Amino acid sequence: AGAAGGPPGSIGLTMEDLLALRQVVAGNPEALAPLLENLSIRYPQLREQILANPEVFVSMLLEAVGDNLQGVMGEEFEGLAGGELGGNDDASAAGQEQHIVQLSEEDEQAISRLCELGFERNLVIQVYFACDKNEEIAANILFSEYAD
Amino acid sequence: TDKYKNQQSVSKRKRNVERNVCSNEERKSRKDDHKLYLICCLVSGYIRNGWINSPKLYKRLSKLIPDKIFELLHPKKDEEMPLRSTRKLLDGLKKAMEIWQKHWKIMKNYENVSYYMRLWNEIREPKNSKSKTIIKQQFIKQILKGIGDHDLAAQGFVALLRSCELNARLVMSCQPPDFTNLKKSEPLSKVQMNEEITKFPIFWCEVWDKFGKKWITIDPINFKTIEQVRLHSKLEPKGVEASKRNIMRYVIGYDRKKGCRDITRRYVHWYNCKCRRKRITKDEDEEIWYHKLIDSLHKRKRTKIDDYEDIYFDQRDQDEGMPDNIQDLKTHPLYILEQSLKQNQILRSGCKECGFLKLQNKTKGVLKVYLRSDVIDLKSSREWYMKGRILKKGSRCLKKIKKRRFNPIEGSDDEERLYPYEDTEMYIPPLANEDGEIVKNAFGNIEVFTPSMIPQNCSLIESPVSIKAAKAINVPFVKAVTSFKFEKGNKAKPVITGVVVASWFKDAVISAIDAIEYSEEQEKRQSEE
Repeated sequence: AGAAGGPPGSIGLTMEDLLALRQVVAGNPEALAPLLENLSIRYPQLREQILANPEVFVSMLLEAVGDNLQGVMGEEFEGLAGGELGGNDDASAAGQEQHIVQLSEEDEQAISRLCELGFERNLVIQVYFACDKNEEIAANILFSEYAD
Repeated sequence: TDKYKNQQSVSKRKRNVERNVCSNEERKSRKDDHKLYLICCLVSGYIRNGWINSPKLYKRLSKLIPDKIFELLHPKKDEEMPLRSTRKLLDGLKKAMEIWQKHWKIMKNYENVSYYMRLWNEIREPKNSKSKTIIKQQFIKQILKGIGDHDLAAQGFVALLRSCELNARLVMSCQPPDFTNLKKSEPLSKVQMNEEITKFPIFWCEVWDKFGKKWITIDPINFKTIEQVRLHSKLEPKGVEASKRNIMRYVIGYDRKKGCRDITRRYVHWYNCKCRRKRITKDEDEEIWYHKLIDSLHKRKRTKIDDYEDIYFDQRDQDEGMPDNIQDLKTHPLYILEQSLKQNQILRSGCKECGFLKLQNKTKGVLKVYLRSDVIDLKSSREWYMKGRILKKGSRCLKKIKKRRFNPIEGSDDEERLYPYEDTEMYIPPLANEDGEIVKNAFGNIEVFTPSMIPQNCSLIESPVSIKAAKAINVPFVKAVTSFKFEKGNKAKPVITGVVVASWFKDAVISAIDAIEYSEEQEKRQSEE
């Protein structure tokens, strides 16, 4: 195993970098080139690892965090709500979300702390879950991606 | 002499300017970057396709389509003339397209290159832009409101059609940087996106026509057109300006069931003649790599629709026809000139040419063109042995060639006889006897180039200390030659990487290896202290 990478076939990236990459791949073509440049300086073996195991990289990008949050707030729960409510057109999107996401007290506190940093609550919740409830990483992402 | 020196340096400089070609390292690095960006593009399309599959989006968008148009989109099968059903569907799609054009209130311009192709200097020295990252929630909001750039508008249209329960694909023409562009430097200019560059879309839509058994192409934004592609598509970029940042090489269709297919064949007319050379898949190894990548994004089982599409693609390969110049023939996957045959290839006996190539130059000659499927690859008996195969009894060589330079074992013959695969059979090595003794070759080794060359009741154990281990515990073994190393002077040296022993000694040898490695490590540590 190389110094920078774990076992063979693995791709060494911190959760934070992986999430940032996923967000850029999904929604910001302009930022892709600078980000890849930045990552390949910080992870000298990254390019090689990705190219040797494209399927591993793809599943990391797809399964990792990104969709957790978007999945939590979006697809999965939406789907559920849609099913429960049947064809009820009155259900507003916001109503559905409140309905479903159960926040523990710990989560609630973390989220309000993040909101105090000056971000919209909805966004905070998304990012917070996307980061697997890691408050620090969520804060980083909020500042780097959404601070106007 | 100064003057002479000056002249020399001037001519050198001139040569470098004339040969504006990047180094070999840079060439390799561009290929890698091409692949890296290709992965990112493909994943990008996959994620967007997932966002489109949002029930919330469907619920709201479906209201945009009145019942009358919905009926057109789902016509009954006309038993007499299925074409009439297709007509209705096309009519419905046209109306849906008009609705979407009205729905899209603010068409934003691209702020930068976006999903169009970047030039190498833009990859190597990327500038941080102030661009914003879109997340799913925003994406849905913008589509419902009808605000965004061409890409978003096209993606929204796919969602609209899916909301009407149509089998609609999001199509993306991926634009990784061009690895076949080997220019060292290109003029660095400010990126200015204009209408010419963005004339041809990156994203568009396809709908399955179950009556005609074909995919219908819809570009609701750029060309505002619906087509049933036969030979040419309007969406294939033409013109110098457009081709700078839009080279059609990887057109990917993402469907509602998370299928992901390469559908470049539909859109590129000269797919085999020209486009192939610009795709990473022109190398066999890279083709395997690419399929691995596509497979990792394809999340559904094969359907009848895929079969129909493959038949269509085959037909398109036929319709593309033969190239009309030598260059395109050289790399063509279906056709070959007799003069391009390799030394170890022959044409199937009795096969006929499938066409002719008229030479344009002064000679005005005509060359015969053959099908690549009529080409037979031959190998010498030694080469077959390296693949674990031996000649069948009574096989006759099809071709004799002069002996090549690197040949593992020297013989007196300077001619080499070549045989086809059909004249060979699998080599079955003799079994080890009861005592575990194994038949050796003239050099006292056993050659193991493929797993099938290990005797059935034996095992190959590869380790630098395997010989030592087998000797230490005194079991019968044979050194295993697993490859050859080529050195200066045309000599091939056998490479011994382990031993072959009878299977019942395998565990013993492995534990002996462990013990030796352990004690070696201990010694090393002690000597370091």
